[in-house]
Amino acid sequence: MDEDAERALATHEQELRRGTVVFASLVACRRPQYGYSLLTTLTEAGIPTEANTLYPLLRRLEKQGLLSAEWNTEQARPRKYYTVTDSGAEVAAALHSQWLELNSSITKLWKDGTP
Amino acid sequence: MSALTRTYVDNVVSHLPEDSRADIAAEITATITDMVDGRLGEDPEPTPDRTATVEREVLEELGDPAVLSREYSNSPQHFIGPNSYPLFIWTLRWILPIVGLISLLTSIIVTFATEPDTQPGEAIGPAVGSTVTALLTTFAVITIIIGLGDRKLDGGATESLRKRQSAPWTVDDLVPRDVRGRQIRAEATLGLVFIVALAAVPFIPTDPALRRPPQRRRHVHQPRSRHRLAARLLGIPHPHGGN
Repeated sequence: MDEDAERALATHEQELRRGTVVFASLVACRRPQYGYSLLTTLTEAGIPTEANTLYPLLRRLEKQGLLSAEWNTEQARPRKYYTVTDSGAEVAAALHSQWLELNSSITKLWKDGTP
Repeated sequence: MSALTRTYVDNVVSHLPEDSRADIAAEITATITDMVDGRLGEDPEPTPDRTATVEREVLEELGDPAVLSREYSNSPQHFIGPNSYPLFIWTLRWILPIVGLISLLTSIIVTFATEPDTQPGEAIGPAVGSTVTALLTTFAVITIIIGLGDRKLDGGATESLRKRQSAPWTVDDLVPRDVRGRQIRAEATLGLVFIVALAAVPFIPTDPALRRPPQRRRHVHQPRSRHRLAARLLGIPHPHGGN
């Protein structure tokens, strides 16, 4: 692959991943997560995410009412825990079914196009 | 929390709305500490040097505090976004030529109305000058209004304008266009206009004083009289020799 193609690939990959971070965060937050735990959870799940996009994203999802946040001060270090709300769970379920649909469509398209 | 982390966090939250600062600062601080601990791993007694190195790494991974701050504030990073851009261009295309024409004509008319014996060449400079000013002002005003509209700060003025500009497009809106022919005609016309304008430059009368012999120059500052204009119009030689 030449340099231009690599650059184009990087852009398209980024665009492809951008939406999946939201979906993955909603899914992961079915159990309460704080910022760093979510980052490691996603990385271990094979969805590496930049810290500086993930943390602001959590606040935006909280503002949209998809996540609820609560400070836990019982531990030695106070942390803000995010949990998916009812509407967040609905959104996650809808995104999940879309994901599966897209996956089967792409698989079919790929097979049809493969000689 | 080290001084370095505190400085970083202060830099991030300083541009954020005041009511969210404390919360975001606490959250980022906790996160940075978590990240540092995560990297130090199982090391039970990390040396201060090692901790400092890891802290630097973590802060550099989080990146420029100004960028992180913008991510948090989620404010638009543009003045006129893709939603408003077509409206912006449409407005410029319609308003600027109209303003330019009006300003040019007004300036010329005003010049001749206040000083009737101005030579046509003398009127060009001020007219072009005031037109450029008018165009720049109009451009600034349109840009600011539509920029505010992009942030919904204009009380819905641009929103109503946008509705007027574009009803949903249908096939009936298609207009037959002879793009090629029109372009060639336009280029030919423009070329002709420029040739004529440039050819006319030497003949455009400017300050009559410039064409007068030097010894007559002192008469220039005499009050301009209506007699001179009348004489010029009637073709009678003026006593001072002006035409």
